[in-house]
Amino acid sequence: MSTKKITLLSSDNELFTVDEEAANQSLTIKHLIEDTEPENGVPLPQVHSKILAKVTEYLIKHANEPDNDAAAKEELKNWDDKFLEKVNHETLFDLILAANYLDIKGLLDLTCQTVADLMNGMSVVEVRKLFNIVNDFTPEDEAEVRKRRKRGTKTIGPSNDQANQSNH
Amino acid sequence: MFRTTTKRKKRKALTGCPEIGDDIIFEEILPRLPIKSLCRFKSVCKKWFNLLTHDPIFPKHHSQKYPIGTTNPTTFFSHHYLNVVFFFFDSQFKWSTPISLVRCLLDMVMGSANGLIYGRCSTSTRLFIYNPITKHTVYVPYPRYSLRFALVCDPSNPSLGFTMVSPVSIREHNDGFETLQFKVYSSKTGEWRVSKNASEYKPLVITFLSISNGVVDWSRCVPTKIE
Repeated sequence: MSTKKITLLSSDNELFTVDEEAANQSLTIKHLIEDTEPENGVPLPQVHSKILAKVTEYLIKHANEPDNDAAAKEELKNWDDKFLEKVNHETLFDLILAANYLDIKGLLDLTCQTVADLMNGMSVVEVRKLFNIVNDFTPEDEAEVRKRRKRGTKTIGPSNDQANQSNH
Repeated sequence: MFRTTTKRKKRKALTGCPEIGDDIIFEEILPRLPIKSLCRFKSVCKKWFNLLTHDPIFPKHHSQKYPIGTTNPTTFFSHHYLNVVFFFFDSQFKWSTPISLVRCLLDMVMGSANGLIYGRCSTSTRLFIYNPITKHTVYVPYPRYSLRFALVCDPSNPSLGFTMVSPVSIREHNDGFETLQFKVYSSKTGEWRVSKNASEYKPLVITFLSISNGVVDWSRCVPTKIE
């Protein structure tokens, strides 16, 4: 009953050992193993040990995904919720980047859904802050958008702005 | 064994997050948001505004990542100048939009033009034209013998109102061809009339007909805008 073990090497040279089955959920790791057959662990220079610890935790838990067992699926879902419960935004974003780089679909879905759920309750200003986005609308732009939205509530047909802009 | 370390840094300031690329934001995160939130987030920055209002691929991502109530949702997408409207309906053609953009209509949706949705009422022999922005509905009587309709709006002159066009089959040929006549409804007159303009082509022998966005295409003629 011995399964092949895979060693992963984080950017700060920490080693993580997982079953091959768990590691293969990451298509990047799977291809790296197939192509290079590394002897001293799979080097993952883009992933820090702090994040890789989380990623391997996810990979181990999801190694044997239940197919038809509803109770097991439910349990796994609860585990997923807990898995990201205490994670701060910075780590969450690092996990997204890692899941994207390592090509782990399940983890990418889970983390992105978490961010989307977060955003749902956020204001525009908070969203800008979250993604480090600079508001590049001029005050005139914003006023224009607001004006259009207001006018849109009164007309049934296409907005009158279109008539003014069209040369027909 | 002790899990106290994770709790200490539970909440951190929002800033200082690593940059995740636009690809991930646009393809993985934004498509998971409900339409109501997307409408709000148009004003985050210009890039987001353009994506949420003009990008033709985004609705596809959205329908994949934000499926509503069905395994095979269809995204119904239309431009209303600067407002992008997303609609979803399931295989039974029931509205399943979770937001207040559309009230629950059990009516049959037929298409859209210039951001207006039109279709057949389930409860009466009327057609409805619905403006999702204003949530305003206009009803049009059902013309006899008509099965297909197209809504025509001239965006350059909205004061003209709207026109509905309905091709009516007046004769079916053995080889599957049909001779058509066009009935036209104008919101100004409030009546269905046989179009004089379109009847110049009469009798139309049509093998394939599709109507969308006010343009009527048929296989034997050049696509023609009826107005």
